[in-house]
Amino acid sequence: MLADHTPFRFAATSEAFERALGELNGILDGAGLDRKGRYNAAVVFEEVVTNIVRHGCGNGAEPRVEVSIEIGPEAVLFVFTDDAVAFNPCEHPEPDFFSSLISAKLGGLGISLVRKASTSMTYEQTPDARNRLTVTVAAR
Amino acid sequence: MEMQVNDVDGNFTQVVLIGRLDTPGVGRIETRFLAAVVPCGKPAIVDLSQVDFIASLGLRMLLSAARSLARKELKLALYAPQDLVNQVFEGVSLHEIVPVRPDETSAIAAVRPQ
Repeated sequence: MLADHTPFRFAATSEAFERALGELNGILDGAGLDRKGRYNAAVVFEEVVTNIVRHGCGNGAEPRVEVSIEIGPEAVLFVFTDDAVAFNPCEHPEPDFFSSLISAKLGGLGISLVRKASTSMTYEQTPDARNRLTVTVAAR
Repeated sequence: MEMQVNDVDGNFTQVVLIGRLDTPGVGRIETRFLAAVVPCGKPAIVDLSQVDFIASLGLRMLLSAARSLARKELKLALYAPQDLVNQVFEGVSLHEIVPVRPDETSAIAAVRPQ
């Protein structure tokens, strides 16, 4: 059975993100996903929204984020829409992180984790110039 | 997210992390974690048996500590990660630069000065 939840809409601030994360965890807990699916869904939400909160304020204005979630028997579908600085994570190259501990890059892991946690990720810019990222996570 | 800090035989710092290493969790403990691990001048081991989630900021926190210790020619090892946390470690090949061990004994062996 497909469960289509009311979209989250919030400002891209740490406080609002933490509240949204709590709400998401409640939804995921009741969604009947297996442990791995639930974990991967949480990673995707965490990483995509954290990226917007940390890097999305290009002109000083606080971006607004909308996240819709559809939970089906085989997959969880996230659609993240925001008015932050234009950014297509699909074009972000997979970094070569760990040639040595001393030179290890500490940033840029988030997109890599999203790729590993998801089965598909697509990006588009909406007609009103918002970022829209659609990510699918296997439910089991 | 909670943490406990223990001294092991006067030679190692042990940190036990409890909870979720998500963005809010890291925000709550990162400063205390780095302060507990880095200035001591001892190798460190981190018990992850009670950590049920990690994301990129958590990885970054652990790597930052390991790197700071490495600059002092000291080591940090992680141990007893839960299966899904270990899956994240394997996805970024963390074990290639930070020892990840199944238990405290092998973690201590991994950081003991030669």
